[in-house]
Amino acid sequence: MALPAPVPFDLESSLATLHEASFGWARSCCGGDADEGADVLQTAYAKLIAGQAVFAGRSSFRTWLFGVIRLTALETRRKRTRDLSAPEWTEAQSVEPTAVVQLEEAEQTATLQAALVQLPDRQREVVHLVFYQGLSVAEAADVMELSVGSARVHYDRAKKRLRALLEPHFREDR
Amino acid sequence: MPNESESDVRLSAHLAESFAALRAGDADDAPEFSAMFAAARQQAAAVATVQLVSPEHTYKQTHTMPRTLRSQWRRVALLVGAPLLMAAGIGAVWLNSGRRAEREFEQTVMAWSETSRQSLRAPTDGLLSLPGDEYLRSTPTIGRGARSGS
Repeated sequence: MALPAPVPFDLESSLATLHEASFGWARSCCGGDADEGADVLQTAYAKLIAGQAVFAGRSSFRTWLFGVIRLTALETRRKRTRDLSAPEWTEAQSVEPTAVVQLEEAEQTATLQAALVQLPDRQREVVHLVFYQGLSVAEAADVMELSVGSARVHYDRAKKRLRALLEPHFREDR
Repeated sequence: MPNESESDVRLSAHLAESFAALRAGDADDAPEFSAMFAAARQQAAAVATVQLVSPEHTYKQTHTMPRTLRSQWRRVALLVGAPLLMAAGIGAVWLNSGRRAEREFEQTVMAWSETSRQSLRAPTDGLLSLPGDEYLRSTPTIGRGARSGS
């Protein structure tokens, strides 16, 4: 039986559509560091162009792309850990003091970032994917290569932790 | 999203609001796509020095991510291997305990039979011996006396 012909796929325009969301995800995978996030995203794009990662159409393109970005960020992290001369990964997680400006929105963002860096990787990832990217927990599980059950556990724990960290802030709001 | 209580809903709303602000900030910080894509193209070309593949050829939907596949195989191997290893371990312990019990039983029987053989000869046994007992304990042979042995 002959295989169906591959669907014509315009990678560049697909990536362009998701570029901002992809940058947000890459940045989150790099502990909030914008430069590191941009490097990771560019490396992920290069992988796609070189054919090192090929979309099989088994999930949505966005879910698959986020998986590639996540793995690229993990590889970068491993390389950094191996290279002792490189700066520590945790250094990138510090929140820029300039982010805390008088604007309420910026303060809210800074508070959230400060809370997010205190979460373990998996919890931070699932929360970002659900609240920032608007994915379902099942889709987030797909990106993170986890079972839906495990992703849900990480999601619940993350929310519990965030509640404790953010409660003073969001109580004032209500 | 999973079923949530009222306070969870409030927290979710707060998180959604905060993440929206974060997203807006990221949108401002995001590098320009066309510049990044061009740089990525150059990076890919530098990496693929041996084989240059055109994007149209590369993005055929016939393959999957090798890393995903590897992790899936690892997961399958773990799922199959772990119970087998556990079963082998339990089997080895079970066999060993059975053999040990057998060995202990044999040792007990040997020790008991040794004791009983010795206890069969009481000090007063000599009083019960009768003249001519040796004829009863030996096999008579023609032309040989049981007592003399000749």
